[in-house]
Amino acid sequence: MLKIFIFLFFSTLASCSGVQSIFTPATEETKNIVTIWWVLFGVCLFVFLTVITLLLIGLFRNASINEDKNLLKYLYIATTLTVILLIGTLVLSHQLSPRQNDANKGSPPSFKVEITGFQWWWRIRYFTMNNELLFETANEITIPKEVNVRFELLAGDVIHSFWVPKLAGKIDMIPGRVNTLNIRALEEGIFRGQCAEFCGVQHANMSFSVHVVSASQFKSWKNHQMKPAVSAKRYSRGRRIFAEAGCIKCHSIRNEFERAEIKAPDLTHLGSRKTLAALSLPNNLGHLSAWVTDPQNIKPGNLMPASKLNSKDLLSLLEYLESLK
Amino acid sequence: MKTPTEQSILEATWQAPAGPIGWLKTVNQTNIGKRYIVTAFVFFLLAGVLALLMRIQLSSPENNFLSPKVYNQIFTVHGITMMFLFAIPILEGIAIYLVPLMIGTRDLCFPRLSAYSYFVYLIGGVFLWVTFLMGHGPDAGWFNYVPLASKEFSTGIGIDIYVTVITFIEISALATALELIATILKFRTPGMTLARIPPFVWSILIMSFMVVFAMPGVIVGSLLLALDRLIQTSFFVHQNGGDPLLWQHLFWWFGHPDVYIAFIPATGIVSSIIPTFCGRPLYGHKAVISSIVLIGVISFGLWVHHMFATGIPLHASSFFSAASALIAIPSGIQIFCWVATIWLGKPIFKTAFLFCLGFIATFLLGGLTGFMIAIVPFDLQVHDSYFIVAHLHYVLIGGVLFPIMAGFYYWWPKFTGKMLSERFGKLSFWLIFIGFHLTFFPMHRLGFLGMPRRIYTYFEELNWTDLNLLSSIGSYILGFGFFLTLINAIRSYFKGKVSGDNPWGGTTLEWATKSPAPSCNFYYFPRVENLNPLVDQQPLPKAVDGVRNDIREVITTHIETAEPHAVIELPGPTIWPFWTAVFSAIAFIGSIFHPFWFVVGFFLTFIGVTGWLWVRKPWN
Repeated sequence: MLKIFIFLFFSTLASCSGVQSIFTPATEETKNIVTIWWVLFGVCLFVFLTVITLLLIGLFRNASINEDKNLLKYLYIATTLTVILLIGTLVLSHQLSPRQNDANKGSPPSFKVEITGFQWWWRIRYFTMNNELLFETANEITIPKEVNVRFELLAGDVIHSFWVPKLAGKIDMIPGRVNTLNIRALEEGIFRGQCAEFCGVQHANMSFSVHVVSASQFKSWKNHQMKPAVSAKRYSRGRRIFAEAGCIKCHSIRNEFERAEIKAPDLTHLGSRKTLAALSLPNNLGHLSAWVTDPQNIKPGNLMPASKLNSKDLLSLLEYLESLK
Repeated sequence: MKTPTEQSILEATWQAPAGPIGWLKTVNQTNIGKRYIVTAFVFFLLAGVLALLMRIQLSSPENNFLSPKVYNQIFTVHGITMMFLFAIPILEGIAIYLVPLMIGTRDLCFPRLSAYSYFVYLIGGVFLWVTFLMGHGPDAGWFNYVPLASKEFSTGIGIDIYVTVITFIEISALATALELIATILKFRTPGMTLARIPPFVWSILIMSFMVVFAMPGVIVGSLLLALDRLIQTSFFVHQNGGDPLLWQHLFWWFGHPDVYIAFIPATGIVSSIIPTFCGRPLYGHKAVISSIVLIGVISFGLWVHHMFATGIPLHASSFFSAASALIAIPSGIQIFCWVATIWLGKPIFKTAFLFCLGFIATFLLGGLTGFMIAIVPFDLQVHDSYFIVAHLHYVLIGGVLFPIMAGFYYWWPKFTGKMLSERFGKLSFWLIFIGFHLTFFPMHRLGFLGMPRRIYTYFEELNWTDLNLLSSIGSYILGFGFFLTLINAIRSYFKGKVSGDNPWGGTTLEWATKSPAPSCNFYYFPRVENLNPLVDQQPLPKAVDGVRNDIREVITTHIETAEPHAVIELPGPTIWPFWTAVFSAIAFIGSIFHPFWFVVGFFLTFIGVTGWLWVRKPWN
């Protein structure tokens, strides 16, 4: 049994590939956390093996000891050892702890990102350091590589938790509070994250992604996002349907439609996003159609009602939305 | 020994009334204790079935077996049932049954209060489950965080039911805790000084004190939440100056010690069983007792480690991190003493002992992962991930349920006078042990792979499928293991071998009387001279003379020295605790639907208590 157990233990540690694995870190902080894990693992494995070995010897040896007093010495030794291990590990892990304040390496950023958790999507707004709004988007965050980006985390309704395992440990988003997080990604790539605090019926499908790109790519992406969406004249029918079908109650498109109440994502550059419905679906016409016609089938319990458009109107609407590159 | 006629008078005096109405009138601790144990075990099986349903849902990606609404109710009710309706009540039940036997007295000090607390617990539990099966279960998790649990985001009555059930369990647990404290301090048989109290009774004493200090946190919390929901106060509404984090502080002030409230009696069970099967007294009795006292104290300084991710300041989290790590020291001392007892004795591998060994190995792992998550940066990665699910089940199943199972196999002959089958028992143990590790060990890795808790589904690309399937298979092996124990118990109850009074050679007082214990527990009050009275005190000397047979008289003793003080008469059977429980249920359950019922229930309860305390004329 023990052998199987130890085997399982090691097989657990080996090969930690995975989209959200904490073992393929891409920031200094998360790399340190992996180091801390190995220290903790070493200490704990030592303790576990020692106790289990002593237990097994005690169970299966033949002779018995009669003298209780000898054991007292070992009790002191064991307790002292425990204290030393505890203090040692605490100090060591404290040394390796992420320090948000002195992570100011690299070029200083000219912007910050405000993220607000909603049931069940992420509102993302880019601000200048002087709190001027640059633009708004949803569910997909883009940041430049090797820049220390400041995230301000808020909650729009209930408590959520912001967690991108490869970039940072999780921080809760609590109504009435602003929590901050600094991320300085060392690698380019797309990093998946997910809400980590139970937030209601669709907690499972409240994901997001952080796209780390080079400085120049980021600049052009940012410039593009700052422009309002333009759609060709031939999509004007779809644009009209968007207004008439009631989409504008909850969704906005910058310079075109302003939503009455913030309950759903801004769709300004929807066509350029990779995913829909907080990473529930890939973004293309077919999936968008499925989402608009029957959102309750894809994310049961989410706040979006099904549309009752006829197929011609629906197609116009979808084409319009996808044209918002 | 007294003559048989005197014994029969005594038994008749303490006899619980018969018949269905008599069932409602019974106040004897042996009956109430057994009811607690059976009821809690039924809730355990129900919550276990919920766990198996969740494992089916998670066994494959994008599974449609359960809808998210149902899944959320299921995991919430699973948590509430396991924590509030199983772990605490079953340990209280074992304590209610065994504590008077272990300290050599005839009943608990407030017998009617035990009947009341049982009925309150029963009504609360049944109410939760009936409404859940009707589709109105709470669905915001057992931790019930606001604002998700506020009226704005949870409009149904699910959360109101949660608040009500919590209130019920608080009342029941507090009543039992106070009663156990008073009984342990004042009702010990002559000669049982503080130093001679058996470890299990010590653990119950500490548990009861912890209940008294921890429960007020959640009482205040659930009261404020009820007010927020019913009459629109704003204790947790940040727009009106309230704070959602206040709920978390209040809840975890209770919620963290709650884990130790379950764990400490469990260690008490282990400390009772290991010595018996090693054929020698517990090594380091004083060290073990000091350790559980320390755990009890330290456990009140840990609650913020559930909230490291809320963005609390570094200094605060460092304090709670260090305090959480500190708990390793008393836990380590206890483990040392158990291992030392095994070294010094000659172990006999009975099922109860196997469960103790399974406990040491499993709890050790759970404790070590607990130490890991006390380290703040590491915790920020694994917090609210499946790593925590693994950790908490290692601690609660390994650290609490395994000892309960050990206690079940150990004291079953005491409860019923029959033996359980060892063959079934050992098979059941191995299935449970292997099934458990197969279910929960892979979850550590799922946490590392970024799987958050409380999600009803996941995508295949995330690479979580194989481990989840493995875990689901393990859960069925685990479930089958428990099923075997159930079969074993039913079989033994009807045609088990008669066990005799002391089948294991136990050395504490509960084995000094008949098995199952007679209605009066003991025919005379024994005098205790040392920690293990059954080893070299046979037959037990009689402590006092002149305690009456024809009324329910017991002696009280000095808190420290246990010298006899006084003789008091305990109240007998009555229907009023039952009615009082029904009336308080009208108040609390009724207030979910209309505040008016609270007023009705309040005055009815007043009548109930009057009937309960009505002074009988001495000549009756």
